Amino acid sequence: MSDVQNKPGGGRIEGGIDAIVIGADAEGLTAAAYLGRAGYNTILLEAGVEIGGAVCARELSPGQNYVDGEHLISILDPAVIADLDLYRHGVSYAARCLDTAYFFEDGETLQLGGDLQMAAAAFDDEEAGPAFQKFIAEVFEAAAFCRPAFEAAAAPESDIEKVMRAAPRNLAARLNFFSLAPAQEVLDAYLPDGPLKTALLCEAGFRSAAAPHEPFSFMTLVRRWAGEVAGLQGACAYPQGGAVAVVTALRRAAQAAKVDIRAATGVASILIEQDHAAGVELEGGGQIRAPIIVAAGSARRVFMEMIGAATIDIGFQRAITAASPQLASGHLHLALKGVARDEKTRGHMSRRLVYAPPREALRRAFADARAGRVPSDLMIEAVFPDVLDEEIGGDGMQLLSAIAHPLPFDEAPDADRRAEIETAILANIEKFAPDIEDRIKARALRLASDIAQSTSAPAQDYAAPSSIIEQVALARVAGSAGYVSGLYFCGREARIGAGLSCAAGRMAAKAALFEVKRGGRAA
Amino acid sequence: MTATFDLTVIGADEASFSAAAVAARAGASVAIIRPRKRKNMAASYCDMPNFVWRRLDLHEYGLSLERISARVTLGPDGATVTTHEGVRETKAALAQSENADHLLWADFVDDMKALEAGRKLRDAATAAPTNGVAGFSLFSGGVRDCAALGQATGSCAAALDDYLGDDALKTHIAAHALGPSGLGGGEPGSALALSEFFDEHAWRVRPDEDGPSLLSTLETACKDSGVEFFTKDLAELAREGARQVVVSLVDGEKIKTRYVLFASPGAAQKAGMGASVCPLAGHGAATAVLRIALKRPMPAATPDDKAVFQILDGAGDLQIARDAALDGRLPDRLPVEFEYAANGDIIVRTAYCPASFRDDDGWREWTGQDRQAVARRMIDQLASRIPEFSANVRKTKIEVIGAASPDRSPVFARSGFAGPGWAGIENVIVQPNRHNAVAAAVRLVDRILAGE
Repeated sequence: MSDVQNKPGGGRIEGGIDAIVIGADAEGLTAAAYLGRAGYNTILLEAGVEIGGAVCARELSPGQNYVDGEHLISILDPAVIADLDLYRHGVSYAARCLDTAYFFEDGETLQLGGDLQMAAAAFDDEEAGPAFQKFIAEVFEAAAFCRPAFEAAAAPESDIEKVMRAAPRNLAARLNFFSLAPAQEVLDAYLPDGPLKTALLCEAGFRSAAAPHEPFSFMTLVRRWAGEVAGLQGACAYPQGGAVAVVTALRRAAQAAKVDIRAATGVASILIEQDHAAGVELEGGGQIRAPIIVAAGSARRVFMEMIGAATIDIGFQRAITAASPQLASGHLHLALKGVARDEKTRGHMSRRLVYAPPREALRRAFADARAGRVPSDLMIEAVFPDVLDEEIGGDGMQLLSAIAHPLPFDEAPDADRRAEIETAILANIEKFAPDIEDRIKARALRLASDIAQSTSAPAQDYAAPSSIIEQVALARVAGSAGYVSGLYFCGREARIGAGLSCAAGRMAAKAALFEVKRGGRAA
Repeated sequence: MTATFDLTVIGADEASFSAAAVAARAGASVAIIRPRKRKNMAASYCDMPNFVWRRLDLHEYGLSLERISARVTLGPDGATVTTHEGVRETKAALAQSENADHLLWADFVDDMKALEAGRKLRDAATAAPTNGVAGFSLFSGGVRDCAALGQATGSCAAALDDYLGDDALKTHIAAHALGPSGLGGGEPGSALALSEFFDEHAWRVRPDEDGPSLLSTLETACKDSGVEFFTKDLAELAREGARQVVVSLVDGEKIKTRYVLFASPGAAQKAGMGASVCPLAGHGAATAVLRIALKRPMPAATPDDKAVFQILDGAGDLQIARDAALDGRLPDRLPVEFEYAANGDIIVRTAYCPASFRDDDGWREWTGQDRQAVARRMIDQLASRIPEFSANVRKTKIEVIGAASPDRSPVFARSGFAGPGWAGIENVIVQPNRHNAVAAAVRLVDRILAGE
């Protein structure tokens, strides 16, 4: 029970709360659930009316929904699933380990099993096979080793250092190479030229602002392969009901942990008293007081608007406000006429489909997108959700969800620009699904600005993330929450890698709990 | 019997000799292998940082040096921007030209110099023969280190936008900071080149015309310190056991050594090794150096013959040029740098050439025609800024560093495991283009000898 008092100047002051979480996206829900489970009286405040942030179901045509924001799960933190009992709260996989079919410009195709280690072992090529096995083994080892660095945004510094220092010498040299080198150079060092290399080059540049020929870009792949789905490293899965099911499960977990979720409750400012977070002032005028505040959402909004530049360290401000993104990915969802019935076709469609442009085209695409032009060649990752998940099926229609990368980042693209982007994405989808244009019944193009608008966040929050090293550096800075004690941050700047992860929410909550245990000010 | 050395330096430039001399003075046994064809047209000015000067006691050799006087960018329509080594001097010059950024200049330079994370990253990228985790452990620094790391791994354009407002000044700095390595300014990691540019030792000096040349002085210093010279071409490098490299020379002589150092990508390429021209950025671009002998001395329009000049229309041209070079094309507006040699010749450089060319039939190697085309374009660029320049050209000579065969140098690419800056064999280290090759080479040698 919370105590409610009348504040002299109107509004109410609410006390008796242990923790406030601002922003009910996946990270915020995760943090709230952790705090709730630890027995803290927790309130989760969401400015919008929807719970779940960018990941939600939207209608494409009557009876046919698509999942906005994300369509696959690849770097979801396994610790969150275990700690919050997400399987019990409804997470299950419609496709546990998706095979990938790569399509190339020359019409060639390549299929890789979802279990990359097995796929490498079974790779049928005299030269590339053993090289691929060595590559996977060495990158997987490095990726597993780096995992703490990718989640430990707010963790005590000594932890990461201890882990990193413990690296054996040959692994250390490899980590050095992997973290600094362009993906292209690493792949050249391991693999012979061929479709496999083109495919992996594409994976390394996918959804990242670091082009595969530029420094630090190999880390994008290392980060992805540090992820684990259903116990399988580097895999991709499609959850029953889509990525939105994960968010729903997180919400249930939070509710089960007795978190008080309040939608349509915007936070105007965070109260700082004697350099310690003391509570929040609501947009409606009331106050809620609590010794722990976890903020999800945009760092600019949290620190520059809710707290104010005057209270925040200058270096910290620079770090969170410096970047202006140039690249973004675009999501295109299509409702297609006619449903494939025969098993063989459905088998082909139950994969992750990737169009991988050749090396030079990819380089040009990044250069074009960075210069603000829509590239003619785009990497495409597509799935047919209704083939993967029987429950989605619309009547007589097929759903296709695709992510295209790299696109120029626009704060507010006009209609012409949107049409240009849509045409470019469709042209690239046509390369592996010919004549798809004629079957389109309904379409939804979701650019960074659209997704941002639905969560009332700035568009740049949904731009392509910069190089992983930059992200790790920024996450460590953002994790320090501007040196305001009692405040923990798990917004975009605290996340590393593209995709639904929830690690930042977990780490923010863990940091808060750690601080309390150590005898900081708390309930 | 095969001679055995701790360190073998391959190359015949100032950076190689300085590195060898410093290593020998520190007690290592050192060999220098210099190719028999000694051609060093690129060197006019050379970096000679104070600390190397002192460690080699160069004043005892009767050497005197003059400093670069200024860095100048010749923009379109006769606009120029000039900066000096001294922060105050530049600040005053900016204030005089009513550039609002003079207020921020000192802070900007300080912040760039303080980008310690940048130095660590560069060091990790260049060579870390035994302690590879050096680069990665940057993650484990404090929050402030991380903020600096974020800045250093970001783009040059973002760092400049963060501090400065004037486009001409930003173009000027981008041109001088990125020009030598052929970076575009928008890519991750290009901020590193910026921080290195402001590193205190990045200013170059040139020996007095009458005194002994720097190179011959360094050669003497090497011999005085007991460095052994082999004036022969390199035939092959091979690894023997876990810790030794066998260097085979053309006449069949072999040297065993612990480490092999190429102090510049040019040295590596002359020895037939693949080399990366850009720090961190891998291969893909080449550097062209053109020496122009003039019919008459330059007109008084450019009296400052001790400055380094860049010709660039706008900062965006760097990125366009880099994209073109990586795409296998020669950029239309080629950013060039030039300076005067001691004898009045003009030395023009550009790092924005493709490593190999791409046309309708696919990739192909450099041809004599390409060299001529580059030379022409470089002269055109100068002619666009200096009146009646084309008519004044008497003789030209061009050299291309970093040109690669389309399928890439086998040593470089098929290394099994190599880091950037590595030549593919463990303990063979190739230094990419640096702002200050001598300082970088000497620091590298220090780290190698310290067992890092």
